[in-house]
Amino acid sequence: MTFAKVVSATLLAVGTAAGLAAPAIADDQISFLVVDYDAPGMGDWWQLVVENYESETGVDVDPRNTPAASYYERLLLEAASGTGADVLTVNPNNLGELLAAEQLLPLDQWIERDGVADLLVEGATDSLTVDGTTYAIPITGRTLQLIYNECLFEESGVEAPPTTPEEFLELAQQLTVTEGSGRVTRYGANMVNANEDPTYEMLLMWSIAHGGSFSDGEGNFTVDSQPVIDGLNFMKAVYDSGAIPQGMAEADLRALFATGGSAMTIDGQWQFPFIEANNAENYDCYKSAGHPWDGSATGGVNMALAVNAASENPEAAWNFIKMAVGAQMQSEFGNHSPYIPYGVGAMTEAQMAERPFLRPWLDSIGSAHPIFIPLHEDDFNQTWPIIVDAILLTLRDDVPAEQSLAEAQQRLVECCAN
Amino acid sequence: MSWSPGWVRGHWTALFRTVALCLLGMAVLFPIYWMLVIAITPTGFSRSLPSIFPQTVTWQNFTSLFADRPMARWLVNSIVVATLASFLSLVFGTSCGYVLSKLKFRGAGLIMIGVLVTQMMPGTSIIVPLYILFRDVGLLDTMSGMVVGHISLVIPIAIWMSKGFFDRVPPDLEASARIDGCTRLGAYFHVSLPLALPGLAAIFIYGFVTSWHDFLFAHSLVHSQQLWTAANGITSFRGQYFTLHELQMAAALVFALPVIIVFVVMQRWIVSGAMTGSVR
Amino acid sequence: MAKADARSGQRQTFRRSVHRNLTEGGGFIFLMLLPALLVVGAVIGVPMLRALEMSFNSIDFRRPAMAGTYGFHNYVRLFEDPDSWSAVILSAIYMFGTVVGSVALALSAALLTRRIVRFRAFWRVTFLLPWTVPAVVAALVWGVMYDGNFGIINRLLDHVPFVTGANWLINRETAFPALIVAQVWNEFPVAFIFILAGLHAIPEELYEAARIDRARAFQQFWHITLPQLRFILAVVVVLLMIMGFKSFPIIYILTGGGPAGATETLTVLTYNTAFRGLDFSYAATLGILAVIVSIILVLGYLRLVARLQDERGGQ
Repeated sequence: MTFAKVVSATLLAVGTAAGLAAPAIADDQISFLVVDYDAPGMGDWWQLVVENYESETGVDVDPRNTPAASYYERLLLEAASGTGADVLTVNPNNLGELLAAEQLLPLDQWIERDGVADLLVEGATDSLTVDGTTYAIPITGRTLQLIYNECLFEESGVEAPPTTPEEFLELAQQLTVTEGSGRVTRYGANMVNANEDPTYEMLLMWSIAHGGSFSDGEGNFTVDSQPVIDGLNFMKAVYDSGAIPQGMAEADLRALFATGGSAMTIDGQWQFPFIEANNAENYDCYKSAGHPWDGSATGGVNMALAVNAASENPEAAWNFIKMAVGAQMQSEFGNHSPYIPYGVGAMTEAQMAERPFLRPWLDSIGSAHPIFIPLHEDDFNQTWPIIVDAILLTLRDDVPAEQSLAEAQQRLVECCAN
Repeated sequence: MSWSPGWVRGHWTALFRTVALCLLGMAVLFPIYWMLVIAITPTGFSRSLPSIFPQTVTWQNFTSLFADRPMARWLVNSIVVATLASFLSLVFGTSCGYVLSKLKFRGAGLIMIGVLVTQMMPGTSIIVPLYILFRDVGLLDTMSGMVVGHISLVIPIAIWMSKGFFDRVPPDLEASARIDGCTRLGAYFHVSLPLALPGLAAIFIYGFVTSWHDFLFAHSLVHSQQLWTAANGITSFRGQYFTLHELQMAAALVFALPVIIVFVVMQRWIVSGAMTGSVR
Repeated sequence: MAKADARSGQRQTFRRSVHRNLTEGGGFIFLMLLPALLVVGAVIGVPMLRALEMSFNSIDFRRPAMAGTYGFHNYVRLFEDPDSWSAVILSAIYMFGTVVGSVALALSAALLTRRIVRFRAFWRVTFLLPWTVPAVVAALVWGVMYDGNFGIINRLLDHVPFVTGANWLINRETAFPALIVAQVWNEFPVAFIFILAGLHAIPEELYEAARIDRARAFQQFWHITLPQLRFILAVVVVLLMIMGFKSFPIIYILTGGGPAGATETLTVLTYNTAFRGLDFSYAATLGILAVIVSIILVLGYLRLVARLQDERGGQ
């Protein structure tokens, strides 16, 4: 083979590759950044919305499917280089950042014009509203509630789910089963304690249970306050009790619980469809109860839709959102998605009867304490690692809670004080 | 049979070698075995495996890969991209390595270091400029973009490695070919390339696997579902709430098959003797 | 007629000289170098230069108005930031660990499989197999195996007297070595394939001569194999150094840089700066730091190799 032949073969090869290149961008098209578009459940619902929108408006939707694992990077990358999709999937935890970067269009005018506020449950857009302006429409919600395995409860002689933190710890120990070699075969409970943001929410939860939170009403950090210290000390007691797995990632803890490896958890409703699909024979064992403390649950809006400020077709993008929150699509929601919808009456009696376990989530969705620190919307990604560092120092390295939280407080003030 | 000391020593060495080889092989294979155990465990149950042997065996994960996910398409995309990228890197990289090895010219050292430096920056630091560049030249979300990107990841090593292998080709071989009337180019094709064959095979394998595993380009610069490669597919099992370990392991094992085929085919070229034959 | 002949002769000479230039001389060098350098320069070189520019700029996602403010502020911050220096040291240790581990493992595997006749393909593929596993999946498998309670490593260690397992990824002392082990397992085949190819490129005559001298295996290795392999080995080490210094998925998935920063290498810090801090300019600055440190380490290593070689040559 001569060099010339190699070159021409090469060019041919490159040409073929270029020929395989995909899509052309048309005017009557909107792009949509969507998480797990092809996944069963939620993905089915998104596909339904897209199909309906396309057939009703004649506008094509280009779904930019992104795996949940890389969603946030993709969102940022596209925004930073000015190639963001017309319709964006956002979350209250990153809304502030996108706003600061001037990425989102205010939606108030359209909300008013199309009466969208009436379609949503009360308080639905609170966490998506900054200084009186709403920037996104909530689609899915979640809070954390107690889920327990009744069969394992009976086996261990536990009669009712816990209603206080102390009971939670006590029952968790009672439910733990250890084999002769000292290895645990079944844990009493789950509590995330890996180096990831769900660990942050655990402390938030137990701080609320002890009567406090990470900030006061003016947005001043109160991470070194007594309720948070109590919350962390409680976490430490749970961690050291041997009743929860240590260091396991949240996703793994979920699978563990769903397959009978632990007896209770404080988690979202997505557990149920997963159990139904993968542990069907024990599905009836799983029950939900309210969170085991007085005060609000944590969570709220999980996925919301926003319009890109740079969109060339904002009206079409808004129409897509309107379609998604419209009564027709919302009534389909419960048939597909494991989430809590924000549409008024989206869950019909029939759908509720089919999924009675959803009650605690539906009741708490409007009043949940947001995961981000109120008035620090745009700092979530800075604040959670600081707090998780403090938690891990106490749990793993036995640093007293007062000390690790005082350090965290100082770091928070340095990085993010208003 | 004589029990001479040399015979005994030889056999002990052979035995020692075999035992060492088996132990090393087992240690290296164990995590793969564990992947297999997870892959044949029903979805969700792999986090509390009690024993070293699989308890309940199911092949459902493998079937559901093809039934519920566009596994075949991911595979085809990956094969196309990796084959093109590794072949082109081999062609471009070895020609570069050859010149650097056999011809003396100014700036050669600088080129060697320069291409290496391009590999030193963490992906996160250049991803934004890279994204903007690809957007500007229209390579965003295209298969050729991935191919070009992967070539740029493989070439520096291809250059260095092929230089190393060409260095080992005795200069008098080329010289005699040139006396016989070969041009430089002719000498390259007829003498140096065949003699560096084990190295070329290794470089091809390296290129193929690098492209196969790439996340930087496949992940960040492609968003159309129909262009997803194996690397994208693998991460998609890490969902928002559950990581489908069992499916992911099954997918990883299936995705390994084309790579294993490349290994089996290409490793045949890694043999001694090519050099010996021509020296004589 | 004669004139035309002369002209066509001239043209022929010209064509021949062009041909000569393209197949022999400077043109040949240029053409052979061009495609490779073009691709690498355009695809990685240009973004690197832009990253360099970004490192003097102030591209902070949340402060778009700041863009265009040029200065040395990111470099000042770099020198004052204790995290960046501890990250550099951790990266260097991680790199050292993975290079030593991978080369040792790959060299043993290559030497053991080299002269094998039966099942040769089987053994070679065996040692290449870990490479078929994407780093993301390797991280998950090792994560499952490392688990303190359910992990198979501890369950197996339970059967070994006088040994107790650890909570490998949680303990400060064991987390970093545990990551290195997983990384070595995943990447040593890279070294294996090149070392194997290098071994087979060594002329057999050299060993035949040694066999006649009845040289012991170790002497053969020391006097023939190693010197013959030295360039390939040097390139392998350089490649592993770069890979080790840049490695990300295994660390990020298994520990996320924790516990409390104990495994936060430079790449993890860069990632966190970009995608949590949203300060792309400072992330670019950390990238430049990574390049500078890598250059220093690689050049230092290459000089060391060259010096050792001189000393050997001088024997």
